[in-house]
Amino acid sequence: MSTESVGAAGSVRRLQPGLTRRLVRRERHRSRSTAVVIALVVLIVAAAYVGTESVLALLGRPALLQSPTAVIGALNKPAVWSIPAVAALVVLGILALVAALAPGRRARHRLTDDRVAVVVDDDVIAGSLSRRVATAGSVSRSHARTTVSSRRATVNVTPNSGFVIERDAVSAAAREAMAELAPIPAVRTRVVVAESGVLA
Amino acid sequence: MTTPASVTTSIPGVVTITEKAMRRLFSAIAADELGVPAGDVSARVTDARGQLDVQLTGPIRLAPLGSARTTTVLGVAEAVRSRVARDGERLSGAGVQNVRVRVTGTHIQNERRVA
Repeated sequence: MSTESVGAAGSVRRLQPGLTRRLVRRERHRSRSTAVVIALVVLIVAAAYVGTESVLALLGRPALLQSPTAVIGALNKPAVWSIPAVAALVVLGILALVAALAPGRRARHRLTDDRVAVVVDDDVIAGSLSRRVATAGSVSRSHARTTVSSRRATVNVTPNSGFVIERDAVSAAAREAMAELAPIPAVRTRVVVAESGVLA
Repeated sequence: MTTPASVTTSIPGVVTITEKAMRRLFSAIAADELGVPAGDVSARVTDARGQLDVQLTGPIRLAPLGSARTTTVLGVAEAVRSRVARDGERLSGAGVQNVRVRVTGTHIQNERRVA
């Protein structure tokens, strides 16, 4: 007695656009949780240490490593080791910034589909393009190699010696294959026919 | 309704002509033109910017000295080059860019005596 499926046969539950967008985004981007966990653990340990040292100094007990007053004193008059130490901190800072601000995109694309959210690895798109180009150029699969990036796909195809590959035909085949897949974001195709062929 | 032609073209798969087949083909054509057994002529087929480069090595058949037929080594070799280029392209479908012939010996053909 489900109420969901009531209605004309063949009626399909559409995806909720917002949910789909979020799910696809999750699949297409790397999670930052590892970086966040590491950063927070470092922060907690550092805060705990500074707190412990401060309390020990207030109680007049001996410091674990360095008392806060000694550390502040050392910071005020730079020593030999302070330059590499600062450099290391700068590098760590830059890494943290990159981890935080870089898009963290994975080599994946969303395919256009009405009913389900489909996310495929770029290898799948590359394989599909290679196959279509190889068929269009009448060469074996191993003669077509494709690299797919976020917005661009390049198919390198090697002719069999003595047989000409028609550039326009294979380019059209590649464009057609890409149009059928309709990845999001859109990917432009380029077919490069090698000048020298190989004998099978 | 599908015509037989469209059925044929839609069959998945690919035809591959191996290098060995090409070698055999070119050496057979050359041997036929040279008038020597096919096994005596060796062929090497390499790629030349997408076309074929054929190198043939073998003996040549010449008429004996003093015979009425005048054939020169160079003349026969040239005939081989043009025939290999023409028939090779026709039979294999592959474009031939370059044919090189290296003559390594001669078969003197004694003219048959009429009984």
